[in-house]
Amino acid sequence: MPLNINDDVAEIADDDSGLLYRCVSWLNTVFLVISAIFVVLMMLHVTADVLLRAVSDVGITGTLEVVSYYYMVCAIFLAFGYVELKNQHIRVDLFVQQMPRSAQVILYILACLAGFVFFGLLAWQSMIDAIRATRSHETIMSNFLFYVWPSRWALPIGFIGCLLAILCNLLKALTRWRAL
Amino acid sequence: MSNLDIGIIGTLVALGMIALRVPIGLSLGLVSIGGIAAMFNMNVAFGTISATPFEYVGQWELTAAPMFLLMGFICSSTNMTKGLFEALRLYLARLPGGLAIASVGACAFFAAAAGSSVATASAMSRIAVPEMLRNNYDRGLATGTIAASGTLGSLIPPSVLLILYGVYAKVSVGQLFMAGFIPGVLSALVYMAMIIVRVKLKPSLAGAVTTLPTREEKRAALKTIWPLPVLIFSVLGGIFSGVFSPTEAGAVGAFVASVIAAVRGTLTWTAIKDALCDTIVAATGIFVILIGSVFFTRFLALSGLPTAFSDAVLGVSSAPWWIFLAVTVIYVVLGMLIDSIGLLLLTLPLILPLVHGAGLDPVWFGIILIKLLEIGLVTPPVGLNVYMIKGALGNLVTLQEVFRGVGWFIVMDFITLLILMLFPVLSLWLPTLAYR
Repeated sequence: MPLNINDDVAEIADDDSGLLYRCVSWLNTVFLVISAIFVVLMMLHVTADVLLRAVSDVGITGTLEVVSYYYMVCAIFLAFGYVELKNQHIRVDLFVQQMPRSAQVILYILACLAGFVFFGLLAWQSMIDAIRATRSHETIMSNFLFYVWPSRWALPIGFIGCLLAILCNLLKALTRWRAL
Repeated sequence: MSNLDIGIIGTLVALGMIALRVPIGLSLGLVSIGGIAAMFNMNVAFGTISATPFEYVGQWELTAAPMFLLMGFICSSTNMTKGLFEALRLYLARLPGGLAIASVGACAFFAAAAGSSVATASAMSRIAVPEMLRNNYDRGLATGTIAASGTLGSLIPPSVLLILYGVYAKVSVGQLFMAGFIPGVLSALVYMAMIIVRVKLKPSLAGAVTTLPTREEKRAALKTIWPLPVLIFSVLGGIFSGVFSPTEAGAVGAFVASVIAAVRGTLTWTAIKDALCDTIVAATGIFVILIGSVFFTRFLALSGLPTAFSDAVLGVSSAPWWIFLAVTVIYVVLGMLIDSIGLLLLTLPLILPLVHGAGLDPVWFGIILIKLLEIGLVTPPVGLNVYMIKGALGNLVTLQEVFRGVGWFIVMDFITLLILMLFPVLSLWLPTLAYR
C-alpha cells in the first residue's frame, strides 16, 4: 500500500494529454491552489490572534468561526479532487498486489464505481444543503452575526471535482488496462 | 434481519472492501449509508449525509491537524533537522553505536516539531541513514533505527493521531499531549539502551571505529543546532504556559518554523510549495477517512453493535489486563494490515464503548492505543514506516533488511507497552500536574 505514497505521481501526470484529463487536472490544480491559500490564511490568522491577545488581551473577533467554518472547510473539501486525481487516497494494497493484472483492474474499476455512488450521493445532498443555506442566509449561533452559508458550497464543489477526477482515473484505467 | 445483524454484515463488508483496495474512507462511508438505508430508509441516510461532513470538518479542534502537519512539513522541506543531528552525532560519538543513538535522539526532537510518524521517518531517513551507511553500520540497524524512531512522532506531542483521538473520544487534546510526553521519551530511551547493549555485544554492527571529533568541530556544530530547539520550545512552552491552546499551537508553530527557515535562508519557493502540497494531500487524505468513519460510527451506533461487542468482551472479564490483552491482539493483528490513521478511525466506534464500560481512564488508554498503532507502523507485511524508508533509499537496502532491523525495536516496543500498562502514572502524571 504505502509504495504509491509519492513515487509514481510524476509519471502518471506526465504522459496524459487527453483534453478531459487536462481540463480536470487544471481545475483540480486551481482548487489545490485555493486550498493552499486557505491553509496559509489559517496559519496567519490564528498566529495574529494569538499575538494580539498576548499584547493587548483582546484577540481578533470571530477567529474561531472564520478559521473553522471558512478556512478549514474550504481547505479540506476543495482538495478532494486533487487527492483522487493523484491517487493519494489511503488504501490497502497488500492482498490485491498478489492477484493477476486483470483482477486488479476489475477491482479498481469497481472501486471507481463505488466512488461515483458515494461522492455522487454526497455531492447531491450537499448541493441541496448549500442551496437551502444560501436562500435562508444561514448563520450560526455566536456572539455576533456570522454567515456560514458561503462555505457550504465548498462541499458540492469539492465533491464534483472528486467525481470528475474519478472519471478521469476510470477512463485511464480502462484505456491502459491497468489499476492506478 | 435485525439491526444488529445489519451492523455485523456491514462491518464485514467494509473490511472486505478495504482488503480489496477500495479506499478506506470510501469503504466505511458507502457501507454506512447503505446500512442506514437498510435499517430505516433512504431519507434517514440522506439526513446523515446532510448533518455530518460539514459540521464535523468545521470543528475548531480539528484545525490543529493540518497546522501541525504544515509545521512538520516545513521543518522537513527546509532541512531543519540537519544541524541538530550533526551536533548529536559529534557529541555521542564515544558511545557504542553513537550514530544510531544520535539518530534516535534527533527523531525524538523532530517528533516534538512534527505531528506524524511518517513525516518523522521520511525527514530523518534522508539525513541519518546515509550517514550511518557511510560509517559501515549494519544496514538493518541503520534503517531499523529510523523506521522505529519515526514512530516517536505520534507519541511525543504534537501528534495528529492524538488530536483525532481526542476529538473523537471527547478528551482534552492538551491533556493527551502532556500524557504522551513521558511515554515518548521513555520509548526513545529504551531504544537507545537496546542499541548500546547490542553494539557492545557485537561491535561490528556499528562499523569500524571512526576518529573522534575534535573540540573545535564540536563547538562549530553547536552553532547550527538552534532551529529545532527554538521551534519546540516556543510551541510546547506556549502550550504548557497557557499563552495559546494546543489547537492554536499548530498555526503558531507553522509560522515560527517559516520564520526560522526564512532567517536561515532555506525558505525557498520550492520548499513552501512542497510543504503546502504535502500538508493538503495528507490532511485531506485523513479527512476523507474521518468523514467515512463518522458515518460508520452513526451506522454502528444505530445497529447496536458497539454495545453488543463491549458486552461480549466485558462478559468475559472487566479487569484491565483482559481489556488490554484483547485490544493488543486486535491492534497488533489489524496493524499488520492497515495503516495507523485508518485503523484508529475504523476501530474507535467499537473500542470506545469498551473503554467506558471497563471504566478505564480515556487519557491513559489513548496513549496505550497510540503506542499500539505505532507498533503497527513497523510490523510486516504492511509497515508504513518501513516502506517509507525503503522508498526514500531505493536500492540501497532491501525490504527484508529493514524489517529484520526493526525486529529488536519491536521487542523493545512491547516492553515499553507493558511498562505503560503497568504504570498508568507515567502517562497521567503530567496531565494531572497541569489540569488540577
